[in-house]
Amino acid sequence: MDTNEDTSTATTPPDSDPPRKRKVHGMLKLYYGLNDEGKASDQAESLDPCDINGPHFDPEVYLNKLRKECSLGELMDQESCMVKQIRSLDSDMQTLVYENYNKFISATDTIRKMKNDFKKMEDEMDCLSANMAAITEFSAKISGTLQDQHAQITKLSGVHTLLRKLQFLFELPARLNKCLELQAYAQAVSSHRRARCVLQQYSHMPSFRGIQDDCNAIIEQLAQQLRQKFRDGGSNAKDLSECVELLLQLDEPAEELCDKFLSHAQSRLEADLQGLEAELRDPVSPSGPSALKKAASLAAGSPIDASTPTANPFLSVASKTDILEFIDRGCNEFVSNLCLVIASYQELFISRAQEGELASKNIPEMASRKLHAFVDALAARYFSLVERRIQEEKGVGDNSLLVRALDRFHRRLQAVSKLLPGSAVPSQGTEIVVQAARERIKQYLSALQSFYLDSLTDVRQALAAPRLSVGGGAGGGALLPGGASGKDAPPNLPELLASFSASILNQIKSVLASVHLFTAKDITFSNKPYFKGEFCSQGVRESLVVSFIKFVCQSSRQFCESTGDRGGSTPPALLLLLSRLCLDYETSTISYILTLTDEQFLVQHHSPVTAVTALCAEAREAAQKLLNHYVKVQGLIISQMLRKSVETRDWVNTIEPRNVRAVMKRVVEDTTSIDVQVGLLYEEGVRKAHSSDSSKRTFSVYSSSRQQVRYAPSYTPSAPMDTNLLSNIHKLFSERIDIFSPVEFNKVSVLTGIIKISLKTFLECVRLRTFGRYGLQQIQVDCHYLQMYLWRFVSDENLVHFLLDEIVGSAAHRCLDPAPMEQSVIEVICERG
Amino acid sequence: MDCLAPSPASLIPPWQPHSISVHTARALMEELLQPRPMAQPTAVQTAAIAAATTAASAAGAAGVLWEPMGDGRRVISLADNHAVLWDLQESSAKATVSSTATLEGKGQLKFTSGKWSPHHNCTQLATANDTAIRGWDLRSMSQIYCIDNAHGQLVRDLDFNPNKQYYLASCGDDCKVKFWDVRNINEPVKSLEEHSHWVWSVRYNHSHDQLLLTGSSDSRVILSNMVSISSEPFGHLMDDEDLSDGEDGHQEEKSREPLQDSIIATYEEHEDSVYALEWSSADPWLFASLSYDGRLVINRVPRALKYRILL
Repeated sequence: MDTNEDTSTATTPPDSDPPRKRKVHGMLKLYYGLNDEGKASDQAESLDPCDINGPHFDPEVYLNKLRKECSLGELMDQESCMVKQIRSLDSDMQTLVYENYNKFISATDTIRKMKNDFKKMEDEMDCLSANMAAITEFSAKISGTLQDQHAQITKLSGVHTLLRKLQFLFELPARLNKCLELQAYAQAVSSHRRARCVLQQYSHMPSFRGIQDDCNAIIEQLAQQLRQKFRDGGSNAKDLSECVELLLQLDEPAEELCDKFLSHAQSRLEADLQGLEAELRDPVSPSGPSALKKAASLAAGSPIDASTPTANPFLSVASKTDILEFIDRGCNEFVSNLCLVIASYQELFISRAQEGELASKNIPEMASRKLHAFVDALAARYFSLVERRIQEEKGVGDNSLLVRALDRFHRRLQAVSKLLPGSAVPSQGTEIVVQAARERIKQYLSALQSFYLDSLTDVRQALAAPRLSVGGGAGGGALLPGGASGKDAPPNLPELLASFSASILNQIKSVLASVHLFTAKDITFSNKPYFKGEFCSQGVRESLVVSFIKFVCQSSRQFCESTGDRGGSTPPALLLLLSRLCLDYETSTISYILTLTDEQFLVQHHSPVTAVTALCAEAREAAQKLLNHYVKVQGLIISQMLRKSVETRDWVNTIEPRNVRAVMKRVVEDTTSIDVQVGLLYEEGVRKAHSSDSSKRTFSVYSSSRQQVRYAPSYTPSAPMDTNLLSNIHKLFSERIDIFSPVEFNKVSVLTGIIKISLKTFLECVRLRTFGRYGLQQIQVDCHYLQMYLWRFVSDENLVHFLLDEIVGSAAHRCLDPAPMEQSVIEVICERG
Repeated sequence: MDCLAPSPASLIPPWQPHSISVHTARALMEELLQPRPMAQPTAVQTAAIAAATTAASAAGAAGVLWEPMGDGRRVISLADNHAVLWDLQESSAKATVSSTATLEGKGQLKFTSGKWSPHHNCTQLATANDTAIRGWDLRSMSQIYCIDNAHGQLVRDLDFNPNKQYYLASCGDDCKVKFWDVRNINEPVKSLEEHSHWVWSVRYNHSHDQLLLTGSSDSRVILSNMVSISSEPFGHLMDDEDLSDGEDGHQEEKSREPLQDSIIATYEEHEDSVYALEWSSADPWLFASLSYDGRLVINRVPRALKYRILL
């Protein structure tokens, strides 16, 4: 006991410790003799004889060890601890025993009871095996007796089924007849199919032959009826397909059936097409009761129309279905029917045949070939109708209807393409859409052109109409001594130009917006390659916008060419206005329009397109031409006045000049009004600097020094030589003047051009006349007057001086008695005038 | 003699190149500038002048036309609205009126110039008044065609193609030179617009009718080469001929492409309006032009062109 106490105190502390529990368990094991299993591991673990819990515990060794190592106090503690442990172990043991006691008792009882039950069971088992042996014996006996009868029954039942079959066969004709009566064709056919093989097999027997013949006759009749039904075509598509199915089962030739089916479908589709065609034609001849009825029904349908009388011709026009309705109808009737036909046809002839025995006869190929031909033919007719209808769509007002119609048309054809993958129909449909779009662009172009021409006419009228508003005219008129401000005040050109170009631009924008509908996101065909590329770049940009701009330039240019050289019917103001318009186009409008187009349509240029610069160059050229022409026309008008004034006068026998001739005043007046007119549209431009008193200064130069030199020697013999020399030297140093040269885009240049032309004409006319003394003097007065007023308009006043110099010089040359007038007198006359 | 003064262009007689000198030019200029009768006129000239004087009033004579072929016994005078055909008796200095034609129409019509056609046995006359060109048959003195609005403005001068009988060139105040086929007068065959002012005269070269001279009051003289409407082979006609040459001609063809209608040269020696032009009747490559300031310029057709035409 001592040793036990010692070990326990040395190793483990008391209470709630897993090693302790194990220890207890191990002890119990020990108690029941169950410790052999865990032995090996334990041995390995603790061979230490000092381990109080180990199996090799040697109390002697342990005690010796303790005694050697510990002091007395420690030994005492050890001892008391060990005692405590032993006590607790004992109590544990007791509790365990109590706990398990009852279980042991009941277990013992159960075992005893079981022993009794097993004994009883053994007896019963013996009884059962005896019974089973008896049953086996009896069963063997019974089956032995029933053997013969069973064979007989089997045979009988075989006979019964055969008889049933025979009965079916014998009853078949009657049944078929009944089915025929009830029109239960499907049942009849399936019955016949079932019997057919048998009948075929036993047809050498007369009785069967009879049945077969009967059946065949009936089936023939049935087939006849089916065919009849098929041919009548009154039934709907479903019935029809049923018919075809049955006929196919009856071994009708498939090709013939295909043809029949298609021809039947054709007749119905034809009807749809005719309906469409009638619609195309119908509104043209609304006479007759049907049309009236139709009109009336339409009128009833829409409350707005209800009030108008049915005879109203406008109603018939209005009652014409719009294109969307037309296409809708076409889609709903024709295309959907076509799809139905295709679907059922494919169901019947192609997909089914592929499964069945028909596949061997190449029927699917034949059938699909037929179908393609059929669809193509009908679609072609349909397309032609649609095309006709689209062509009738001439009005350019609302585009959305057309676009929607085309979209629907295109979308519906996709169904066909899904059904018939190889068909050319969808591509043809797309072609039509593309064509329609192209047509549309053409129409828009012509609409734009006519709009342009119309607004041009408006502008013309506005120019022609006398305007009360004086505007800038008064300022120009103030320059004139006579004051002709109100007489022909120029119309308000800038306003006209602004409204003109704005209205054109608006029109272009609205047209672009309309065309833009074609490329809207929700339109199916807008995603097609054509619409993404060619339509935008070639169609809209080139054919529409660029063509229009070119048209504007070209029509402007035509004003320069066609209308006669005498000024023609084109009012000069219009020329000026158009010139400014073209110039504006060149500077900004063209690039604006093209940028707008490119942005709106996201144009991606696959093919080369007209460059902005080329268009601008064209516009500039047109502007230049127009302005040149304007100068020419205005110059001509003044030239004509001058020419008439020179040619119709007898310059030899004229009186002494007292006044500036009225023509000269008129010339200055006209020039002033032209100046005002041009000033409204074009900038001032640069001119060579001159003093405010130029008229006086230059005049004095021209009159005193040069004139003296020129006229004085004309009385001396050597005069002509000197004069020529002088004028030639002068010409050598002055630049050559191109009379009808192109002008720049500014007021001064334009006016210079006009004055050049006028004065040159004056010069040439003077050279063709012969002057008397007073004739020359009159020319002198006139030229001085022109000198006073014209210098301010031109870029280089020397030009005017030079030309006027030449005029007076030429007049002096042509004068019989060249006696020039006193300068002061000339001045007095001019100032008085 | 005032009647001769107004139109400087009409005064220059067909001149002989070998007799041209500065002095002659001066003389011509003096005639132009001084309204005095010409010195020492020959008998025929006297007769013609007498005839013109008789026919014309103090002003308004547009010109006197000599018969282009034949013995020069016939003369036409154009004055105001009358065209008078005179017959000059060789011996006497007296002219007799053989027939007259009168321009009729609205307003005061006046002949501005005219030309006697060298074709058709000299039975045709072309005249210009205002913007119209008219053709006359001298046998009946009746109008045979009328090109209204031949030019936008006044028609200044006319000339017949010496080799193509229906071709006529005209020029006028619209700065244009136009070529007409008188069988189809609706449209000009061709129209040139090279000058920058009125074109006062136009002249075909007498033997090479593709060469055309025009003088204008922009003080330029322009020599143009109008191959396409000349009597020379042109375009595919020429090609056909060349084809027969075979391969030798092949390279040549490249080097000398067929001549195109073009301006050959612009002569800017004049300082003032050029009113008269004439080809020399002796040397077909020589021509003279006269301007208001009295300068007479004689020029040659460029040598290169001459050889191209000849070879």
